[in-house]
Amino acid sequence: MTPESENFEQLKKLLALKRHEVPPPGYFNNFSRNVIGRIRAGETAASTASVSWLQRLQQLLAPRPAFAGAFGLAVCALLVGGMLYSSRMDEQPGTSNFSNNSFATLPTTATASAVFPGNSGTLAPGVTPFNGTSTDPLFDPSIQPTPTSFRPFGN
Amino acid sequence: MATLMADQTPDKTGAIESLPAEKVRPASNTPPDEIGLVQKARQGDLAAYDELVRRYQERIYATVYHMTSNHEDANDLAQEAFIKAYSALKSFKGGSSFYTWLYRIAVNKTINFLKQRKNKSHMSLNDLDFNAEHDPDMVALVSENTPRRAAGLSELQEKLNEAMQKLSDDHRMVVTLHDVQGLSHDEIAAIMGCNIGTVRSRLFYARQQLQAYLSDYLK
Repeated sequence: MTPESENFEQLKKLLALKRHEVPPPGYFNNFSRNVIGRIRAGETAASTASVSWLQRLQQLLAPRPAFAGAFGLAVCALLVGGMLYSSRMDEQPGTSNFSNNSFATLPTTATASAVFPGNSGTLAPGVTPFNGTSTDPLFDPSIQPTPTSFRPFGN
Repeated sequence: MATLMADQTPDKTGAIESLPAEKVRPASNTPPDEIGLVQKARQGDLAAYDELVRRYQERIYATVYHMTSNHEDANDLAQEAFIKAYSALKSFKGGSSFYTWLYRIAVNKTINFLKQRKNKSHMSLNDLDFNAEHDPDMVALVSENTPRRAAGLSELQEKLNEAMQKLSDDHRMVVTLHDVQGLSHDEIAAIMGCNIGTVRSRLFYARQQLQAYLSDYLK
């Protein structure tokens, strides 16, 4: 026997000492009772806890892959069906209140008199009426900033 | 760390692979009555699971205790391992014996706990039983006292546990399962999810380390 293996034999004997380390007397009498009690408590808590409908659905479908697949297919079919129905409704004239022709009646330009009919002749002197368009609604070259001079303090 | 999880156990994210109850395959080394108990427990029979707990409580507790050197931690972890196993029973395929599967859960739980605990460990050792004083090997170790190891069994126990705590988790686990609990290399490889060669090399290295730490007590 080599010294090394002899030492390992000694070590093994020493490690065997750990087998004699035992929990307090009677410890294992209550161990399984505690485990089962905790399992029961966990089940009760889980059943009474309020879970969202999404979690319930997930719990329902998780152990049943076939149901989960069928559910997914059904949701996809509903979505595709809804899209097809919606596009078909758009194609039929007169079936919708929001057909493309409805927008043709709207004016392409807006004037002050169109928006404020009562104020058509009350523009300030020097201000020319401006017909803004949707692509250039604000820029009016006739409107210039008023020059302002500031006096220094003390003058 | 080697991967501890096999196909039957919860992975590190907590996800559990589910399998219908009727797909359980009994492992060749599983006692016949145990298969029935496992089947009943899978269907929610807590009396059957209570029987399984009673069968393995001492082994699971001892494994966790020798890894942590702390009775309170071992108590919590062993209970949690059984509770986790019950909740994961639906994922138990029966490819290995129930106790190997249970061991895996306990080992994984313990190693995760030790990683979180890091250096905050404190020992809370159990008392030695009466038989320790009459064990011929222990008598021999203590009677061959040198001035430096004039201590009794309790000091020897403390030094041994201190040395064990200096090992890495994986090495301590291998020593615990093999030299303390008497499991075979095959069983340890199955529990730890590594090959037998790894188990052997870890065991050799761990013994060398322990031998160095405990040199005063092994002369």
